[in-house]
Amino acid sequence: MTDGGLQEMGIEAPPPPPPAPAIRALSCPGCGGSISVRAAGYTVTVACQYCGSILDVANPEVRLLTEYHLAIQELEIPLGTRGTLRGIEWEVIGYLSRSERGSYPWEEYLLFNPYQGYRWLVTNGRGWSFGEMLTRAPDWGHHGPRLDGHDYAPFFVDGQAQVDYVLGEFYWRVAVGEEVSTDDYVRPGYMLSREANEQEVSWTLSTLLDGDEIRRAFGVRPPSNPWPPLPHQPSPYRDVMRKGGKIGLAVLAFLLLLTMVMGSGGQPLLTETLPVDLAGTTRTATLGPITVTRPYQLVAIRAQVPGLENGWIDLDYALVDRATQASYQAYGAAERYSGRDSDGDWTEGSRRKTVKLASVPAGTYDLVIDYAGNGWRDFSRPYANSQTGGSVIIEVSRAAAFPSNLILAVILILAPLVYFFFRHLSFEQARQDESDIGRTGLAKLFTSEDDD
Amino acid sequence: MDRRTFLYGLWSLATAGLFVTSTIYAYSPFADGGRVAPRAGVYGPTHK
Repeated sequence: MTDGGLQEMGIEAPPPPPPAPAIRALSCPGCGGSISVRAAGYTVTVACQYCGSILDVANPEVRLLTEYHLAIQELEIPLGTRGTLRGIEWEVIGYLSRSERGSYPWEEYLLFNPYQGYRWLVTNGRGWSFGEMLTRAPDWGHHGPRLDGHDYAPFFVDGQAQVDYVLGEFYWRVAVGEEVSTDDYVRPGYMLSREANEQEVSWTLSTLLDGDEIRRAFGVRPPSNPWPPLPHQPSPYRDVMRKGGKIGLAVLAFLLLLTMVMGSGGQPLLTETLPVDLAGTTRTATLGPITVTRPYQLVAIRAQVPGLENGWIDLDYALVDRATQASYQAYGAAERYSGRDSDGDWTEGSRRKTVKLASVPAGTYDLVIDYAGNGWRDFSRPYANSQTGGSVIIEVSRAAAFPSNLILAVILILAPLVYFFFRHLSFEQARQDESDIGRTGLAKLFTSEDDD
Repeated sequence: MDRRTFLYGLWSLATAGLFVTSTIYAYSPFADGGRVAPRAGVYGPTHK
């Protein structure tokens, strides 16, 4: 249907697409090589892909700015390569190799799309970033620039970047040796770079690309596990510490609640007082019946000898099911000693001893106790007597949850988080050690003197 | 949710499951029951 037809139907015709830049072919005045200018009309400078000479193509007459006869460097992404990154097709039209005055080299590929303009692909061999030059300067916060509500921390300051090698076409008059002063600011996943020379100040926001993204877009094999991390590389442990911490807390709260509900034993099932002396004679007592009703329970037997002094009571327990004669056995000893030495008076042991039997099934039981009291003589105090007070109090109670199980569960739940925390710390320290600022925050807090 | 968080969630769930199971069966590896052998060795304080 024609535009006239659409107008008759009251439908406005769509606006015509912006004109795509024409590809312009020219000949290098330095080496005679044939060069295609892919962003003709926008490109100001072209570095010949055969000899490296830099040409001024802003005017119809191509002018040789700098003549080189270089061996052309093989690029990881050849000029003219097209790739789709985040839904937009880009063509690689230029390449810069830059460094901090010869140190810390990195590479920048200039991408072009006639509808989107220019972008940068930046790599230092340890990862790739997608850069967009900003048309506005960021605000300034307390510690660094602030852009779109996000604060950026300073990372590299007062750098001097120079162009070491150039190939392809550019929208400004690029020259080898061109220098700018640089400052870089980061937040996880993003780097904000400021470049300034005598004429202008420019800001570029770089987004760290996932390895799969750059591979899918341009067929580049991404580096695996770069170390030390990139300045704006997010810690791979940050997410698990945040979300995992919430999961861990929720599970711990649940376990604590369960222990409080199930762990309470209520009233004692049985309390008896038995006679005891320190003659070493074994006595036997049978206490019961003890009825437990839960399918399985913890049975706690507590022995208390209030008058015990300088002696011990051996206690052998057997909880015997009246129906099946199944026996659950345990051993305990209440022991209490005191004396005097060069440091003065001392005491040791406890007049109480609790033993716990696990997984006792529901049923009616008798508790058979073999027990014997023994005295201990403190030869430094020959007149100190061993004594028991004459009785041992036995108390039987039930519960379901062992506090020791809760402690074990807490350790198991927290252990991975502690591991992730120290991995995160190690990552952050390695990342921040690359910075001109040095370590900050937790990375600094956990820095020992040996690390400095 | 990344892989580590997912695995940690599974780990926490398994730990909680073991805890609930041990509570249902009133089981503990730290229980005294079953230790039928009387204490061997010398009685008396170990003070100094």
